[in-house]
Amino acid sequence: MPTSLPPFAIFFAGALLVPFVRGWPRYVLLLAIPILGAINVAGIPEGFELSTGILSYTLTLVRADRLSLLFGYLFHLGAFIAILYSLHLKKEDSATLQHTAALVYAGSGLGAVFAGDLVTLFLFWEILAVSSVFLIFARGTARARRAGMRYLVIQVVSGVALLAGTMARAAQTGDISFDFIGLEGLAGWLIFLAIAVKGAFPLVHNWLTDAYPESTPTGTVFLSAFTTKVAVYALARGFPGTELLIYVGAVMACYPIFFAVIENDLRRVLSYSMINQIGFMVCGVGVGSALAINGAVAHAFNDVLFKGLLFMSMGAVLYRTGTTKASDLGGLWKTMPFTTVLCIVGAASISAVPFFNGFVSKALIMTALLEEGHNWIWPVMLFASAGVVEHAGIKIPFFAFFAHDSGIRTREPPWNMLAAMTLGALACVLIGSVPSLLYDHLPNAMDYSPYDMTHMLTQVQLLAFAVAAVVLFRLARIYPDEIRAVNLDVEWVYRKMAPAVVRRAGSAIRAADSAVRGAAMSGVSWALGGAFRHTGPHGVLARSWPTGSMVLWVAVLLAAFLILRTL
Amino acid sequence: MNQGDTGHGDAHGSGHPPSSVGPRATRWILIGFFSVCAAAVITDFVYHRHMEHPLEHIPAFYTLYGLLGVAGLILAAKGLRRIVMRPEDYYDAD
Repeated sequence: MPTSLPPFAIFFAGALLVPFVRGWPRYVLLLAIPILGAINVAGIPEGFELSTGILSYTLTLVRADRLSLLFGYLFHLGAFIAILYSLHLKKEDSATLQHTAALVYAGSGLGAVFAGDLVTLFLFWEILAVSSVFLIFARGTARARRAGMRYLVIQVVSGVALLAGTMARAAQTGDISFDFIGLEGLAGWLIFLAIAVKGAFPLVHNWLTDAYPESTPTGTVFLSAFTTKVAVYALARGFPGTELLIYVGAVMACYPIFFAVIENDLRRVLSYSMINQIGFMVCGVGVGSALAINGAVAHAFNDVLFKGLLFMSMGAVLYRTGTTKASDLGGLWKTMPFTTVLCIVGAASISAVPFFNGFVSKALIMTALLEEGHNWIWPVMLFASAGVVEHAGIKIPFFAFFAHDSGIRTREPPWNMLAAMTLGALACVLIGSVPSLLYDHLPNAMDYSPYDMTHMLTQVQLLAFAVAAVVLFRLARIYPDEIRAVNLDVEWVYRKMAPAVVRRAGSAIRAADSAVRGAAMSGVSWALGGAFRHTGPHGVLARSWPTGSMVLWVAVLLAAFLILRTL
Repeated sequence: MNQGDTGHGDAHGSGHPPSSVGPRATRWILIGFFSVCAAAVITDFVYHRHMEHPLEHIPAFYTLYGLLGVAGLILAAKGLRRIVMRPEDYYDAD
């Protein structure tokens, strides 16, 4: 009997039990699941594998090494914070649906990062998609249902690509183990495509900014923790050192910040910000050195904490005020002071202010870029770092809690939301101040300290003047207003253009079809008319002949015959 | 929920809506903030930071890069808005 259970099993078992308990027993059960799970993972030694044979293949349900274990710890921490944040849910919030879906979702995230082969990965990849969509549906609005369906379709496409890639790889190499894959052959590209969709790469990113802001206040916190981080894990496992990723990462880090500046829905701003942060991770994986991989993984870890914290603070605002639109908010610090402070901690963390966790992980990636001689990418990522300050560091807390007084007077969110945010904020500050807590568990050994004078000084300079630009633009009234609007993005292609093309094509086909049918029908009518003319009641062939004329014609015929005969 | 939509944000109308932070506090916050900025620039000329990238040799590089980078970002985003901004119900219109 194995001493450790597969990490996903505890969450799946919990999901089975949750519908049958209510009130305090459910709170205890929900909180116990990630704690028991974490104890279980702590007991899994490096190098542990749990395999089972199916047909001629070996499925490795659990493969524990430093990389998978770190994500394992992270997902337990993320799940605990998100579960604590969602404890208060009531029946009218579809509490049972949300709690169950969240546990299955978190469990499948764990299943994916511990999967030792591509088939097992695919199974959890799909459960991840199907379970998470219920956190979007649970919002209960028509918008959420539509966004959820779009999300589901795109996620399933990712799964199909992964399955096709797995089958191609099995056919090519006979090997389904999930280790380094690389961009070679059809299989490599298909698996890469699957991860690209899950990781919200440019052009296939819009599911994230479409669906996450439509989820419930609590659902988005779960969503932000798992799906994209599984993609980052899969990249770090299967495609480290793939040069293309450096450029993809640089693009990802940059383009969303332009959209974030002009976006009105603050949870959508955070969704764009999320793509920007994943860009740093993808870039790190692309660089591929020991330091860069450590940076990518560390940043994924920290992102779950600070992005979770920011989504929680905006979730609290949504929960209390019913909106996260910057144009409708402002001045909430007066009635939500704790939430304000906690949001600012998240903003400082994502902005990589020294002594907050973003600083210690982003430093690894930036240093690795310089060490590996990527002198053209480094300024790009530095620009992206400055851009983070603008949209996540300033815009989120400023427009929600400060700016002009919206007149909204509300109160702090329930205790469990505050507790979860406090826990997230403490983790951000703790890791930022004592980076060895995280560094000691990174996949590669390294000797690095982010806290040297130059690094701290340059970071403060960059941040201070990035903020200065915003302040000066506000004072000069050049800063863009918050406007109730939507901004077109790639989703326009499948939400507007494709339906319009289908509609146009449909009406063109309908017109052509009716023209052909009309022509055919008139041909048939003409033929029928002709036949009727000749054989109808008044037609030549159906005319009734008088007996006299018959006799006359017979006589004529006989006479003609007689004449011909005598000639 | 969205009644009274003026279309544009309220922050820049005539007769600005009251800021949620008082003018005195705002002034002190700004003085404090710009002091930090000034200190950050001065330190760059006092402390010799070690440099790896060619751009870092530019005096006060990080301050310039942060300021100009974000200024460019905001202006570019305003330009982007002209291209991509649509009414709030754009996708719901059909």
